[in-house]
Amino acid sequence: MGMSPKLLRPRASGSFTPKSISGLSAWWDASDTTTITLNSTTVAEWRDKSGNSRHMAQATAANQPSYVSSEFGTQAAVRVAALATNRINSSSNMSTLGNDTSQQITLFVVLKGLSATTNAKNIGEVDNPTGFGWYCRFTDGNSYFDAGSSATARVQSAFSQSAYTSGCVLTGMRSGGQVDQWLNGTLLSGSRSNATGSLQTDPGHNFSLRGGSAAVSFGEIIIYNRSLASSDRQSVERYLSKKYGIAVA
Amino acid sequence: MSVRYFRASVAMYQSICRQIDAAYEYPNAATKTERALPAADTLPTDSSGRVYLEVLSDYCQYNLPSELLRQFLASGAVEEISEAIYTASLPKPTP
Repeated sequence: MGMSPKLLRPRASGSFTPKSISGLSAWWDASDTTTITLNSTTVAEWRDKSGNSRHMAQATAANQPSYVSSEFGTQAAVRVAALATNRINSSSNMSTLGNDTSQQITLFVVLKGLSATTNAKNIGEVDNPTGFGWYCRFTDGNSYFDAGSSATARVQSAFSQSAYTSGCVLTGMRSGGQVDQWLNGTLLSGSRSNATGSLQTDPGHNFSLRGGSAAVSFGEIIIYNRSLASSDRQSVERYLSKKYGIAVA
Repeated sequence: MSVRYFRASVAMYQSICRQIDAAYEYPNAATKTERALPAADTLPTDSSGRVYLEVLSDYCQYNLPSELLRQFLASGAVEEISEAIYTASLPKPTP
């Protein structure tokens, strides 16, 4: 008797998760309530799901961001207020967040700005303004992705205020001298091909989320310690698109 | 969310912090929250030794902070100030 056809079928590969792609460095998912420690309605800790323990925390109640259970449709978010001290950050175990030798990193953020005001600094390093960071600033209608210590590693892209305030998927990537950012899967203007300087994601630098002069809600943040091929980048963007109901290219 | 601004002597501010922390039983290991308000030594201060605090108005509306705030403002132990006065208290960036 021959082998049952069922045994010859390939095993189902399972649905896509950010862990499906190698190099996952950090993964914060507001919809996973097992990763959130609440102090009443505010967030005291947002744990990293990547396995690298890059947990973000805020131990002072008055400075804790709020937890919004339905910010992106039915998906939750951690919302930082328009207050410099309202932030959540990880100050330990940030080594190899990116690859500071080959200067590679890929960052995906699902966010929504509560209002498009001036100089809102949303994500990135707090204590080293010349290091890795990313913020949107609407005095001039641009999004800025700082992928390192040099001004040559900054991508400045014209940015849609309506996309920002309705919720969007932002992608930033550095691969050596090349720095790009995408909005909802579409490459934005301002790419760099001559970036110099280190990413500066090494220990001692504080990775944080804060709203600055505008409140911002974060649904999910995914970071890889390498640049991704287009197919992998699109896989992550489509995963986020499906989950948060945001159309991507 | 709007922001409110206050100032008080260091001693008064620290006393307020102790009262609120005691009421909320901070530090709380379960909620991973150590204190209600920022430590005094993290706040801007002026030449008179007063600390300056910015707080979300939402936080001021919680039951305990709102009651204590009402009492402290009425007694003059805490002064509510404008954003302009608060901003003027911040350390000036070095050129």
